[in-house]
Amino acid sequence: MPGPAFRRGETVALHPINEEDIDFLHENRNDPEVRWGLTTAFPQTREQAEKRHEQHAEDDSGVGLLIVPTDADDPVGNVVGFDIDPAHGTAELAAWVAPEAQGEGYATEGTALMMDYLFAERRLHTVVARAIVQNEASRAVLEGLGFQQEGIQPAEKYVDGEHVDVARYSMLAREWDGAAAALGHGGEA
Amino acid sequence: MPGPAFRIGEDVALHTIEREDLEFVARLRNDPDIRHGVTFTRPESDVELESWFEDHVSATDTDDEGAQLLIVPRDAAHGTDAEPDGGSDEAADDARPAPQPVGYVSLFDIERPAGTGEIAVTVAPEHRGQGYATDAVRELVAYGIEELRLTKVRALALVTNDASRAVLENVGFRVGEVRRELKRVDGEHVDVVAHSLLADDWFDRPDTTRGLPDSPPGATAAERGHTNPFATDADGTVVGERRPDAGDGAGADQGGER
Repeated sequence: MPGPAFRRGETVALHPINEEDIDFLHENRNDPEVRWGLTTAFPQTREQAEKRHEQHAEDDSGVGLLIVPTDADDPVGNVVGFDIDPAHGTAELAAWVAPEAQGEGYATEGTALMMDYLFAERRLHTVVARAIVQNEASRAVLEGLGFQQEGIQPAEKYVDGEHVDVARYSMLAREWDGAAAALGHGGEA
Repeated sequence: MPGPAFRIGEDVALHTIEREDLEFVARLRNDPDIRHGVTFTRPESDVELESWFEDHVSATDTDDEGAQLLIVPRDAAHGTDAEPDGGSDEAADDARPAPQPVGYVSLFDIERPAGTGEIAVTVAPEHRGQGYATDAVRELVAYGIEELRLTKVRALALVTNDASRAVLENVGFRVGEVRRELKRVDGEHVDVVAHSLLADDWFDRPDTTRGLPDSPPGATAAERGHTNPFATDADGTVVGERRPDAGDGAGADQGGER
C-alpha cells in the first residue's frame, strides 16, 4: 500500500512509493504495453526493482510518486520527475498508467500534480516531456495540459523493429497556472 | 602528455587521455570563458576530475560505451613542424616537440538499442579559429557511426554560441528543435539548439565518409563476392545480396556542400 498522500488533486493524489508497491511497479515496467510507451527494451527483475527503489530514496535528482485514485487504496500508475537540475532549473517528466486503468484521466491529473510540485515546490524553470510520435495517448495528455511541442527528434528510439521519431514538449514556469487551471480548461481525457 | 592516437583526421588526431592530461582538462572544465559554452556550473577540483577520469575515461569494468579523447594537431603530434606552440619549453630537451592537446571531445549517453549518442567538443580559446573543432567532431562522428554502429549522433549548442553551431553545421548536422530556456548561463535562461546527424545522411556524403585508411581490396564481404545465403525471393530461390543503396532510407536530399 502506498504511503500517505503527498499532493492531492480532485480525482487522484500522488503518494510516495513504499516497499509493498514494488510488485506493482515491477509488473507494469515489464508489461509490453507499458514499456512500448516508455521505450525500455530491457527486462527488469524483482531484485532490480528493489535496488532501484532504494537508490531513488537517496537521489535528489529524481522524484517518483504513485498515482492513486482518491476513492481507492491501490495505485494505478506512476509519475516521475527526473534529471532534476536545480542550477539550470530543469527536469524531465514521465508518467504511465496501468493498461486496465487507462482512459480515466489519471495520467492527466497525475502529470498536472507533478508539474505543480516541480514548479511550486522545487522552483524549477523548465519541465520537458517526450513521447514517441505514435503514442497518441501520452501526446494528448501533454497537449491537453498546455505543453508546447518543441519539435520532432528523428530516429530517437528503436521500437518494434524500427527507428521511431520522438515528439519533445516543454512547459515554462511562467506558462503554468497550476493543475486546477490546466484541468479546468483543458478537459479530462 | 596525450596517449597514442586513436583516430586520425586530416588536421587533428584524437588521442587517449592519460592521467597527466587532467591538468589541461581541468582548465577547460573550469575556465569561465570556456565552461559557459558547455554550461558547466560546478567547480571541478582534482578530486572531481580524478573520479571523472576513473568513471568515464579509464573505466575498465563498465558497459559505458562513451569515449573521451584529446584533440592534437597532427603537425604537433608528428613533430614535423618544430615550432613550439605558445612558447612551451618542456620539449626543449627533445628534438621533437611533445604532442600538445588543444582541446578534447566526448561521446556520451550512448543509448541502445536505439543506437544514439551525444557529442561535445571544447577547444582552448587560444587555439580556436583553425578548424580543429570541425575536424575533431567529424572524426568523432565517424567513430560513433562507422565503428560503434550508431544510427544517430546528437549535439547541443546554446543558441548564442555561433561558433559551435557553425562547427556542427559544417560537419553536416541538421538543426533540430529549439529547447526553450533549458540552460542557465550567467544569470539568464538561454535556449538550446538540438542538432542531429543520421547515419543515412553520413554515408550519403562521400566527402565525410572515410573508413580505415587504404583498406585493402576485398576487405568487405561484398567485395569478396559473398552473398547472404538466407535471402530468398517469393519462390524460395536465393536472390543474393541486396544493393546497399536499395533501401528506402530517408535523407537522400541535399547533402550539403559547406
